Amino acid sequence: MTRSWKAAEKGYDEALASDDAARGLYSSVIKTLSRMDDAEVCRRERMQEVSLVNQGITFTVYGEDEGTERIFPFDFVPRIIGSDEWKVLEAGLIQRVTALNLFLEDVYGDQRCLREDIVPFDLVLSRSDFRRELVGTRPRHGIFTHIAGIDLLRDDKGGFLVLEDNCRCPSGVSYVLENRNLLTRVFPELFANYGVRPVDRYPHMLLETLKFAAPRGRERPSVAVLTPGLNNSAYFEHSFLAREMGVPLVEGRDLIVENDQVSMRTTRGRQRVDVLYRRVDDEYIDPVVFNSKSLLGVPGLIHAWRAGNITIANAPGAGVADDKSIYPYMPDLVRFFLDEEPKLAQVHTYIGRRKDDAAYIRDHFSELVVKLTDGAGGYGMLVGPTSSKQEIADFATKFNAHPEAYIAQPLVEFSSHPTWVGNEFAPRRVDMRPFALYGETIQILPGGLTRVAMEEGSYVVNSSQGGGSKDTWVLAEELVP
Amino acid sequence: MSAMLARSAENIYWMGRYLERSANLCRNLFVAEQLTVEIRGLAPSDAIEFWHGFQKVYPGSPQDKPFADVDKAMQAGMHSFLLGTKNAISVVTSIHNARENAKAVREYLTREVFEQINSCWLHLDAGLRGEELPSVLLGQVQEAVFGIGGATGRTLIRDEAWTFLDLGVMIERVYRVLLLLRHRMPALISPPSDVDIPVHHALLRGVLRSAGSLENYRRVQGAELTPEIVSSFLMFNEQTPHSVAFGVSHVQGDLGDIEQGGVLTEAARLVGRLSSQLKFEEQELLGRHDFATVCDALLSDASRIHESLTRLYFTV
Repeated sequence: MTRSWKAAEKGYDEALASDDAARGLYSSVIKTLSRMDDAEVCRRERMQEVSLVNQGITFTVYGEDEGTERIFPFDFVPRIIGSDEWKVLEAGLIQRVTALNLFLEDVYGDQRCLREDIVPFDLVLSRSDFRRELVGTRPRHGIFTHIAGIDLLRDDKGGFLVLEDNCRCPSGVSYVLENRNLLTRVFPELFANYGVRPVDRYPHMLLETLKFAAPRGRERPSVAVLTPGLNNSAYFEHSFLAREMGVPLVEGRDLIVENDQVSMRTTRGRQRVDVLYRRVDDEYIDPVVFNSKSLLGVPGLIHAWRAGNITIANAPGAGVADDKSIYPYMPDLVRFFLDEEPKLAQVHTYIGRRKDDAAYIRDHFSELVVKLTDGAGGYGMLVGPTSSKQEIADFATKFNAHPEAYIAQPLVEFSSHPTWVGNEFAPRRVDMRPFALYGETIQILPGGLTRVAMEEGSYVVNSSQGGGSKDTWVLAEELVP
Repeated sequence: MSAMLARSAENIYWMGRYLERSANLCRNLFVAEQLTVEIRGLAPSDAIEFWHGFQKVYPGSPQDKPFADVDKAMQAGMHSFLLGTKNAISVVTSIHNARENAKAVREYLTREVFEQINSCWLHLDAGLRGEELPSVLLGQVQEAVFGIGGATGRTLIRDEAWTFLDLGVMIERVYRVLLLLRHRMPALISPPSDVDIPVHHALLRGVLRSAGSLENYRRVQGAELTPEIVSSFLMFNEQTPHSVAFGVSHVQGDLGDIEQGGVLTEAARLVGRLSSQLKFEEQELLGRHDFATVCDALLSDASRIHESLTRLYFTV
């Protein structure tokens, strides 16, 4: 090697067994990058930045001036997963998504898992994402989570753990496709010696999934993507998916419900919509049923859905399955619904609504990651081990006011990956979000969004908090160059 | 993709209008800059007046106080119409709006089209940060605007989205050429008795270049340069792409594509009547009224066509 590679001091290093010693799968990538001098790497990095800016591959950050656009930092060192390991992951993800869906079908149906006390009745009923209005509703084929994103971490022993489930509007898949597109253009030589499984079938898979979910009797269903609009942080993705699937991107104001039929306003009058891939949260989707002040939704949409005249993907109410306070019960739910042992491990979790757990959390703030059960995007959380005494004290005040609104987990020393920062490759922590599509079968996209904490020592990978992303390679067959 | 969303059709129509407006503004700013250099020594007051005339050619732009100095008039005009973020009719505002429209209809655009629009905006953004001289920036932006035209022409599928884009481009073109003729030509048609002929010709060439038609005019009319022939060429010639007749003929074709032989709509009737006038009533139009009145009437027709399109297709 002509350049030095530093392995992670703490936790598992995805690419390096030790300093300057690449793991088998990574040897070709590391050799190729080692042959490039800094000037060349910087030139390529600049190319990729220009490409992202020119293509407008951006997201909007909440809380900043309206219209502030940022590119999602992209790191070109790919994350590589071998085919054998992927098979194990894939089986685990299919099992988990199956269980999540069965849970949803059950809580809005017979509620067996509540009656048999697998999950406490009052816990589910008290979740803001549990929609009482929808009890008794069963979507076509019983599928609630047509699209799911499961966040994974690799622990210090190299095993994958589920960190959280995303069953509402999981975002990030557009970056999976764009990252691959970008890497093939800017660093084509990295692909030599690897059989990388393609990800660009995703829009086709998604469209097939959505069509499968169409209401009964619709031979050629009309599909649309529902977005909150241009100012939403994930608008690029909404537009990208509509474009890639060749379907309209609609806003609430483009839709109208008459006689429980949903139509969009077109230049040739009203045209029926059969399937809506919504990227608007439940809360705002129908002002008649949920938030009456919502201007983003469509009055009467839920009624049309309950009448079976339109499919909404993901189904309203699906958010209760990814509530952080349901997460600790997932292993039991897998056993209950599938009569199998969970194939994917998960992080031990303390539940603020349990008195003992709340007391433990209070005594161990400095060792725990404490999160709001209905929080997302890295907001409203405390990373104890990296927080100051004052930050912990401030957070404790909030926690003590509503302990039931929190869960806590021990800090997982999750894996790191070589990442180009400044003018060198350095280890940075990474997670991964694979995407599952539930149509006729459950399909897992061979890849996923690897998010990377760009700051040294940071555990926060969220894009809204400065995180970046990587291309994730799933190999078609084991290949050790 | 079947019928377009009404909101998307409106966005793409306005994207076309804003892109055409930017192209028109860039061309006019270039012409004004060059004309100023050409005539300032001979007729400084005409050079200043040419810049002041911008406010009439682009109604809705801020009314600056008159300048007595050529350089100040040029500097103020260039800044206001190239980088004026508070000027609703500036290049920067038009490209910003076109980009917002493009973002709203990205699923109808190719990657190439969006990248060209984005790249044009990035030039202007750099200009707003003072990283480039206005004259250099103007060249970059004009090239980028041509690039957008190339990308749309070469990559977009000819479907309903294309038709609404072209409708926007052509309506805006008709409107802009008519405004140019309305405010630049009357003074040239009736010049003072002591008119300086070289300056007069420079100003006529300026009008033709502002309409992107000088070379085409020469191919058709040769070296003869009179206000009457220039007016007639820019109004009635159906072959030059920046004439009123060319624009109206395209609007008529676009509406025919959208309506696909259905019931004759109000917009189609209005365009049909306008097209007939331009084809068959040149002498009557110019003989009956003075030129400014003719332009005003045609401008009013163009506005009615736009309003009718909005009612028909965008507010379903």
